[in-house]
Amino acid sequence: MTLISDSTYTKNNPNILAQNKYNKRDTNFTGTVIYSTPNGKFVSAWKYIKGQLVSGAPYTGNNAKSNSLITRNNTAHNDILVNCTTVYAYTVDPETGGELPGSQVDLYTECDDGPLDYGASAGIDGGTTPTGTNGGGNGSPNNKTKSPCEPGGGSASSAAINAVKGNYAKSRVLQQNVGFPAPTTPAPTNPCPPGATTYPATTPVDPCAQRKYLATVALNSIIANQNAQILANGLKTGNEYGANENITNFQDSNPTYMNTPLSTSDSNEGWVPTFTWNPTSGYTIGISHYHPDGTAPSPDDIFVLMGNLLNNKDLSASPAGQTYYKSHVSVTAITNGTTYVVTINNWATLQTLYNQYIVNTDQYDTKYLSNVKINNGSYEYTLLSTFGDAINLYTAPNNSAIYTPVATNSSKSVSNVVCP
Amino acid sequence: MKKILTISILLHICFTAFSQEKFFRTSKAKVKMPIVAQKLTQQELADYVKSNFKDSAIPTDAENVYKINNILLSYWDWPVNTGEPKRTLEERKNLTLVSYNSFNKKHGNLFKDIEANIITVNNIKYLIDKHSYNNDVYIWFFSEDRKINSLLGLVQFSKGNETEANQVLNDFLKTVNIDNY
Repeated sequence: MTLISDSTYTKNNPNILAQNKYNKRDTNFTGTVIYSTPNGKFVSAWKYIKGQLVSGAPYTGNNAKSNSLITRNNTAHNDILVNCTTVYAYTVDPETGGELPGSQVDLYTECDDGPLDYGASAGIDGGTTPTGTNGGGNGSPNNKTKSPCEPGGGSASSAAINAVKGNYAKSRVLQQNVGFPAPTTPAPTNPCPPGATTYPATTPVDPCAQRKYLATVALNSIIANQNAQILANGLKTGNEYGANENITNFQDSNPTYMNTPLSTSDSNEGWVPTFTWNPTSGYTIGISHYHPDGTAPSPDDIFVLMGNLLNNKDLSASPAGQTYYKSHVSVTAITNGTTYVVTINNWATLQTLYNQYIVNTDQYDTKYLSNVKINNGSYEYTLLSTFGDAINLYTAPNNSAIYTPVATNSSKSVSNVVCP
Repeated sequence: MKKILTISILLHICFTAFSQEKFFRTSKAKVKMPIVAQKLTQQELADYVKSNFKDSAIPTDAENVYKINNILLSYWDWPVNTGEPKRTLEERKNLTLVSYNSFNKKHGNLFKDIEANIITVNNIKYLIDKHSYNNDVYIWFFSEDRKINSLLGLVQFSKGNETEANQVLNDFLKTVNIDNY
C-alpha cells in the first residue's frame, strides 16, 4: 500500500502519515492510496479528500489486475504556468503491449503549482507531493468485498447521497470512518465517486438547431406560465424563485409538461431545486429560476444537472431515460430583462469539470469568483470561458421564445452566434 | 556542419517561441510605477506567490505585474462592449456584496474583511472591492467604463502589510491616465 498525501494534509509534517495504516485511516487524510502486488503491479487506487473517498480506480479482477497500469498524462493549462496531470489507469493490450482501447479510467487531475486549474489565475497551494509509503496490510488480496459505495459495503459505515443544497449540487460522498478499502474492492456502482462512471461525449449539439427546441419549450403554455410567475414573484420580492420543468412521459415524442409548484428560499442568494424521475412526480428535464442580481447561470446551476445524472437512482436505472435527459435537459435563469438558458453540449467535458468541482468546491468557487473579477465582472464571459464546449448558452428577452446562442470571441467579449 | 547549424537555429527558434511570454491581458493606460517597483515575469510571479502566499488571483496572462516591496499589483484593460447587460459601479458594488454573502453562506465564511466602496480619483470613479482569504488580502479596483475600455486590477498582500498596500494603491490610482481610453 502506497500513500501519496496532499501537501495540504501533511503541512510539512510527514510524521502525520503514521496515523494511516491499512486498518486505520486518519479522518482528515487527503491524498491517494495505491495498492500494488509485491512485484509492484497495480491493483487499485483510491482518492481521499479530508477523509472522504471521492474517486477511485477499483480492482477489476485478477486478469486485469496483473495487466493494469497507473500512469500520468500531463497537460499544460493556460499555456504557461500550470502543468496539470491527469492520473489514470488502463489495461495493457496483450497483443500490442499498449493501452487497451476503452480501458482507461481517469482517477483525478492535479496541477504542479496548484491542485486544480479553473481559469487564468495562478493557483499555488495544495500540490500533491509524494511523502511516504506504508507497507503491509491485513486484507485478503482476493477477498472481494462490496463496493464502499454500496450501503454496508467494504469498510464503509454508511453511504449517503447529499441532497441538493442551496442552488448547487453536492456529489455523493462516502462516510468512511475506519481503514482504507480492501485492495480488491470492485468498481463502485452508480451513484459513485467521479471517475468510476464516465459519460461519453454526446454528439455535439448545433446551437442554431437547438433554438427550435428551446422555442418549443418556451412557448409551451405551462412553461410560459411558470416562467412568468417566477419573474413576477422575483421582481415583487427580490428573492429567488424557481420551478422544475417536469414532463409526464419522456418516451412521448410530444411530451406533456406538468404544473409544478413554484418554490423559494426567501433569499436572494440561492434557490433549492428538486429532481424526480418517475411517472407520478414527473421527469425533470429542466429547472428554471430567477436571478435577482441579473447574472447568467452559475456553475452550481449547471453542475446540478450532472449531479442528477450521477446521483438519482431512478435515472441511473433507466438507460433510455439517461439518453433523453442528456439530450434535453436545460437550466434557465430569468433576470430582469434577459432570460438565459444553458444546455449541455459535451457531457464528458462537463464531467471533467464536475469532478474538479466536487474535489474541492471551496477552491473551485473561489477561483470562479476570482475569474469573474478578472473578467471585469462579466458572468457570461466567465461562464463560457470556464465551461468551454461543455455547454451552449442562449439568451432571449424576457417572455420571448427567440433564443440566440452566444459565445466568446477573441476580443474578450461575448457575442451572438449568427444562425442561418 | 551545415546540418548541425540548421538544427541549432531551428532549436533556437523553437526555444525562443516557446519561452516567449504571451499576454492576453494588457493595458493602454498611462501609469507611473514607483522606483522600487519590480516588473515580474510570469515565472517570477509564480515563484513569488508560491513563497509568500497561499494562493493568488493575479492572472497568469497579465502583462503588467509588479512587486512593490511586499505588495503585488497588476492591472489590465477590459473592453467596454462585452455584449453583457451593462451595470453601473453602484450595481456592481451591490452585486459584489451579494456574491460574497452567497459564497460565505455556502462555504462557511471563508471570505473575511469584506468591503466594497466607490471612490473618485482624478475624476475617475472606481469600485474598490476588498476581501481576505487564508490571511491573504485582495483589493480589486474597477474603473468606470470609458469610451472603449475600462481599467481594472488587483493588489494582493499579506495581512499586516495593509497600510503599505493602501498607499501603493492610492499612489497608483493617482498616476492613472486613461484619457482617450
